[in-house]
Amino acid sequence: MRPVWLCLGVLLSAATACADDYRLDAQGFIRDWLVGGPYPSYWVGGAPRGFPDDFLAALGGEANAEPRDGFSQEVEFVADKAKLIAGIGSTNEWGYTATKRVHAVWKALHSEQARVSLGESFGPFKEHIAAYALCYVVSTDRKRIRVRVGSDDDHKLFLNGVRIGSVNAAQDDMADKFVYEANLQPGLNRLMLKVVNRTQGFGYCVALTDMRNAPLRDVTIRLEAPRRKPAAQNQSRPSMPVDREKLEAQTRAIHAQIASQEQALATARAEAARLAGETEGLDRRRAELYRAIEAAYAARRAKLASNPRPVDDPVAPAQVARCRRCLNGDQWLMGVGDSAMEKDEGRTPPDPKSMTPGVLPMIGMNEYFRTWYYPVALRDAKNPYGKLRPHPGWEQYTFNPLLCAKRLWMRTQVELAARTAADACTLVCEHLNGSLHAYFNGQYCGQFSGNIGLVEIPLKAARPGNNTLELFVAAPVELISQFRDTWGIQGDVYLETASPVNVASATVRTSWRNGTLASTTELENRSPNAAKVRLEQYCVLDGRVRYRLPAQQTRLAAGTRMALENSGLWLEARTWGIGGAYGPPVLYQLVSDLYADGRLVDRRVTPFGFREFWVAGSDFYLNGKRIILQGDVGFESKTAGLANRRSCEVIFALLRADGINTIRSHDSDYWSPAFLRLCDQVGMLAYVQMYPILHEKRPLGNFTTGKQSYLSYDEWLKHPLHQRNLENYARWVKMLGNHPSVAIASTDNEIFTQAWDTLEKLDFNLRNDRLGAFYERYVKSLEPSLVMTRDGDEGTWGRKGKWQEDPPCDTANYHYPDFTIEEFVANWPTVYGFRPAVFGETLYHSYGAWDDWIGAVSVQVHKKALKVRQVASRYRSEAVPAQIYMGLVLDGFIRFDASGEGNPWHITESMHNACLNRGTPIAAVPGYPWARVPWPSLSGPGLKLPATRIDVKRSGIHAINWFDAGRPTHVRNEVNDAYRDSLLPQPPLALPSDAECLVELGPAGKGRVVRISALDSLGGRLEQVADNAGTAWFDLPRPGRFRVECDARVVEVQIAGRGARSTRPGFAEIPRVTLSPDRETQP
Amino acid sequence: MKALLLAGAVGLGTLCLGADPASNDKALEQHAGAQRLLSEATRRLTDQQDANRKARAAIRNLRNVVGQQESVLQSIENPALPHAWRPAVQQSVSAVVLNLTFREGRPLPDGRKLPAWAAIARDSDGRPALKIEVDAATKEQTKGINNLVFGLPADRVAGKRLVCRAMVKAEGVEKPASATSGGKFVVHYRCGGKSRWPGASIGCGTFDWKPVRFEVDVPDGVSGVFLAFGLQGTTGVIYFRDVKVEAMAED
Repeated sequence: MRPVWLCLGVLLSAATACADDYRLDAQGFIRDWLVGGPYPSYWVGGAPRGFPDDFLAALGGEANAEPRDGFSQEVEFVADKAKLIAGIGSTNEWGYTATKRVHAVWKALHSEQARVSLGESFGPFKEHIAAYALCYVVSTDRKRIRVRVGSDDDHKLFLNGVRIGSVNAAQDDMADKFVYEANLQPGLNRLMLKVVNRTQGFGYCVALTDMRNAPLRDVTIRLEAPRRKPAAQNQSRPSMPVDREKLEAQTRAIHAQIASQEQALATARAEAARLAGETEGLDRRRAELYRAIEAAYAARRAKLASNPRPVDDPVAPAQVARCRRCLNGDQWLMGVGDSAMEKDEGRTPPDPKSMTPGVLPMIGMNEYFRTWYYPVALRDAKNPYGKLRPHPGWEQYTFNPLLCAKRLWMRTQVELAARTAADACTLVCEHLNGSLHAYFNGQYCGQFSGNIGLVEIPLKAARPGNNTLELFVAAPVELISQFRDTWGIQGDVYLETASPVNVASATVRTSWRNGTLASTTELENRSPNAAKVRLEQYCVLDGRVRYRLPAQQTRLAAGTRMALENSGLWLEARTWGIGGAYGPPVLYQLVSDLYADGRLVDRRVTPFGFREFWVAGSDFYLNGKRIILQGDVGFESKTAGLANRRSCEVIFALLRADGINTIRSHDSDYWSPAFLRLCDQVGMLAYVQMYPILHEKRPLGNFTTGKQSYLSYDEWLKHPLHQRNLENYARWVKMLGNHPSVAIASTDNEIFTQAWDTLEKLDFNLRNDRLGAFYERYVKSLEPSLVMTRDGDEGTWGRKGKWQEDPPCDTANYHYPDFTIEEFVANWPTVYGFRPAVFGETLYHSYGAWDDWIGAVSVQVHKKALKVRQVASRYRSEAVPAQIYMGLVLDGFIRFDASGEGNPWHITESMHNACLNRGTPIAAVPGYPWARVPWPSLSGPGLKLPATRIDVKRSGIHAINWFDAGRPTHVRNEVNDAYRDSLLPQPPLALPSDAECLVELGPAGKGRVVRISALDSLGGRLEQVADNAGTAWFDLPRPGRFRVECDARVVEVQIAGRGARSTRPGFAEIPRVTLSPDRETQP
Repeated sequence: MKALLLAGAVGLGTLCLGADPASNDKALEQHAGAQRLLSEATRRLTDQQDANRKARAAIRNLRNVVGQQESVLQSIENPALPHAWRPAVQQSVSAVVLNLTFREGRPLPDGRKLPAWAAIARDSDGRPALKIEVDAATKEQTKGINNLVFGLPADRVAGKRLVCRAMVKAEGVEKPASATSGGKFVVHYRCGGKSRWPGASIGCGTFDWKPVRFEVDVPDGVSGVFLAFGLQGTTGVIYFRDVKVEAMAED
């Protein structure tokens, strides 16, 4: 044995670089550090031990340690089976089955960016670790400074041995997130930062500024103290005797091991080459098969022939009674009702004197949400149910408390001509959440209870002249006993009149693969006599008849309804597509002409698109072409969401430009078919959703009392609320009919979630999951061509892992797979049992709740963009069939910074903060963060809230301008570019095919009925009650020539389609027709 | 020598015993250098092996996808053929990965000694079973962790669907305070930096022998896969027998 002594200090002489002086960067960030790690941060009791544990105790503690470049410490990453494995769910470590010993080495590090990234610094140790960063700040004098820190996650900061700050929380390393004041001494100041990574990103940034926040210019950075402490300096090598022969033998053995490893590596690389070749071959085969499948579909279709043959005929004009009058507007009186009325089919309305003016449609809401929808503020911010105060800048606005009433009476006058009064009159509402009792001239006419689907109540006792329509509307809260945010009549209200013998509805189903067009037509006879009827149906495009279904005849008994089925083979039909290779969104009109006793009595025109969307294997196909759905589900805005056509027109076009071809309407979004109509017209796919009610009472509050706190699966199937679900779903399916844009329908959302999916709740969750599957199958049974999904049913965040239902749903739906790419994205066809994978929500938005409400600050936008590029491009390379992002509309289109260039209103960060924190008004946007919406009329289709929220610290949807003609629609940010670069490019949206116009009567026209009749052969009549300003706003089914009339005044006008102006903000370009006693103009 | 060592230990400079300090340093440096090279070579090899494992999994997936597409194509060309789109790949049991039979008076099947709170005892039906009995004192002593853990061969279960079965009986298993505690029959694995604990619901209270079963799809790239069963965070008696883990394979 030849013991030797290691020479002290010999091996650290290479550390001369550490004696250099470094400068802060222009913003004051320290770019040069001595970084040491990794140190284990055990996850114990829901907290990282790495935060309190002092790993530098041997050096005098983390506050005082002065390690040098090359210093290393052996550290243990303990894998105690008893704790890590058997202690199921109690800890979360590195996955080792045996304790690992590694060296935490200290090395000089220069960062090219202000943010020092440590994510790749410590080999396999990326999460649940701690690291230190040390530097010496050389100051010429004593001064007070600010140390500005961002850390991902926890940190402690020591200056000259004193802890000047610490944060024990998971967070992002946003610059300047924490600012600590401290004193620099003349000479060297030891600055030690400890950073603990929990999961995900790992890094930090530290800047030094003076007390006026200017970067320090008169300091330099060193990585070692000039005075070397002999005993401590040689920290990297043990001072112990060494057997040189043994050492050399070990070295030789290591070299042999290296040679063996190199050989194994060569073998592995050879295998990699072979695997790459095989992968390439399979990819090629896959692509060939896709082409072959599309060709096979086309070839199969080519063998079919139309029957009947297509035609090209003019449309015969018709004079029928059918007319649709929109009752939206401010002509309603409203008063609070009481619970007794809900069961009362008699009419007990409140005293008319107590009724006040109101506007329909409206959002009835829990008081909690008043400040979400309207520009009002709480007097006591801690009491969301308390008294309101005007929002600054909105002093003139008065909140109508009736909006929060759970029971309301509504009354309006309906003027009917003598001929119309004899027709069949029907109250139609396109979206009602709650219950409604309808009375006409004091007579009870019927009721509705539910939260989706068209409300259609035949009105009795109509008479010429003035009629009184009264509605009693109640919120569904009492019925469901659950917290509800909104309710009431939120969709358009119409009075529909038609011949007593009429076409009540027509639904079209098309199959591209089979070339079939099938219709289901409901005929109604409200007359006292039976009628012999003939139904003629044909498809019209561009004013010409293109296809006729066989005529049908039957006898319709008095007071009955009957459904007729009809079908034909039509191969020449132009398909509805999303543009590009899929073709434009062609919309036909199915015209249903009904003859009674030989006389044409009704013509109903139903738009539809000829298309088929289906699942084949693990993929989706639209009209014979494979399609990948790239969607967005970010319509969180209550005032600019799916209820608002104007905002949708602007936003959809912007989303499409960045690659979005699908909009998912979340359950809390708007349920009116108005959203679907827009999607139909512009070629946007719709992914629609409706939850079932699963509990009579809130189940989880009492969950710990055992299983009895909820009804079992079998008990639920006998419950009245189950029946209500079935009725809701049946109405929903009917509503979805005729909308070619509907691609996917979902019947639930995240039954298995992180919070709920525990073993203890497994029975409860399985019960819910079985019910979810029941409703999914029920919907599928109603409309087998619907492609179904169940959002998050693949065990979102939980341990479920696999679907429970048998047979499984059409698609596998997993939310937020971006957290578990290797498990739930890689090789997804195998993972999901060879069904199409639908990632119903992914890439949660980044400026809000999960991100500390930091706003679209540049570092956050940048990080999000990087994440989008990483994840979305992975989805693309894996060809995931449906990716629904949460979302581009939230993370794009906004920047929150000092420039003000990140939003159309040029609102800077300081303006925003001053306004919200101190009430300092913003001249350009009085009333910020609310902006007044300059609605041209309170009449006409759609919700019309007085203001929209444009809070520029929230998310992109709030910074998209759809209402202000004087400003641009949007600004882009890095996230927009990331989506655009990562997603499959999509063809531009089509322009809406319909039209609109504003009829101005002048103040004297208040409450008058304006009628517009189409002068083409297809015909059709619409009416609108003018609002209190005397304006009537019409949505017209198509551009063309129209007759506009009110009382005795008539004018014929040509009205252009919405066209490109639909994507521009504001209302100034709406064609106007002036129809006043002294002046008539046309657009 | 002892004196000299002590002298060295107290820091008397570079004193060496019968050796050239420079050559000693060189040997040390060569050793350290070799270790670095080995570490680097190991990392390269591990990275390549990881990449190959992923590539193999991707190829398995692609083969299945291609098979499924061929099936789709056939069904279009010949609609009379039954649709074989889902699943395109049938799975059958290919291997029993773990099969635990408990024998009275013997250690655990893998040779380990039983912990004090576990025993193999003959049940009233005359057949032996693993009995785990935890009282309040034991719970306190073991911090409530009374699971037996058996490693599963990661290379044989990665990318496979596992079917885990057991017969379970319980006597007076107390309802645990924590939702993640109670009777346990779970698989634990880690993948992509995350732990997963798929398992069966066992319940608490008293019940006679009943089968429990769950399936888990183990992703490729797992680092360690374990089967664990027993009691956690609760007291009572639980019995296990016929514990079996089978890996499904693609036909």
